[in-house]
Amino acid sequence: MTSRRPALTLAACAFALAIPFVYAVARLIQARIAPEPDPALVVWSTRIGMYWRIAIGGYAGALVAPMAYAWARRDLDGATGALVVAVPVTALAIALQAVFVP
Amino acid sequence: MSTFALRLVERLHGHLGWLAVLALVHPAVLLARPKRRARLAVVLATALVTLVGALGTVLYPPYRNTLKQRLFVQTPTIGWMFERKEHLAVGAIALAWVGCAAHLALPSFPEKTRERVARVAHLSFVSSAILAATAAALGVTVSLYTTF
Repeated sequence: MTSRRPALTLAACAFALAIPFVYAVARLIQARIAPEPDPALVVWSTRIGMYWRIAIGGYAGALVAPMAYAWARRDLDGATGALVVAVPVTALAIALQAVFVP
Repeated sequence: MSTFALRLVERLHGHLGWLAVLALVHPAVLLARPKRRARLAVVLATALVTLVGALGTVLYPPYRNTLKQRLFVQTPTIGWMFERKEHLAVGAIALAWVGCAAHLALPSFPEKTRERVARVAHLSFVSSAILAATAAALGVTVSLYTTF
């Protein structure tokens, strides 16, 4: 068993990484399934999509964080290895989403 | 919020945004060496980019209510640039948090995983700086076309 602090750190990192990753996925799903009205035709929609996507990302992050904590307590090596991969993947996901599905 | 206050916050957001880009580049460069400690640079850069994001959050509803439609009618390309900027900013802030958490907690990790965690911090700040710089460049482009 790993001590608590490294596991908590990895949980916090997983929480923070989940926000932009889920944000990008949510935007992609929204664009495919239920696209927003053309901004040139409506003054504003009732909800601010960006805030909702951040909230959904935060919710997903809150679900992922305890799992990351449990994983890090059991196998810190594996969990840190996954985090090394997750950082560029998340950065790439949000960048590609911003370019192709703004 | 009055127009004057909106313009003031908008300009603060823009100028601090570029400062945040520079502040993020600093740890991105320093942390290339895994043993290097740069707590102050990391904390200040993360705090600054978070503050800029908070100012952007304050500005978004007035932008949406007063400028967005006009921008999309006149120059849709610039309108979409603004949307892209918002997405990239979310990524830049979150990745800065990851880098900050990883770097500050580094001494608590066992020796054999420390190098990997240092790599996480470095990668996070590099990614954050790239996303923030792109967002800032898009922000400047948008500001050439419209303002409060």
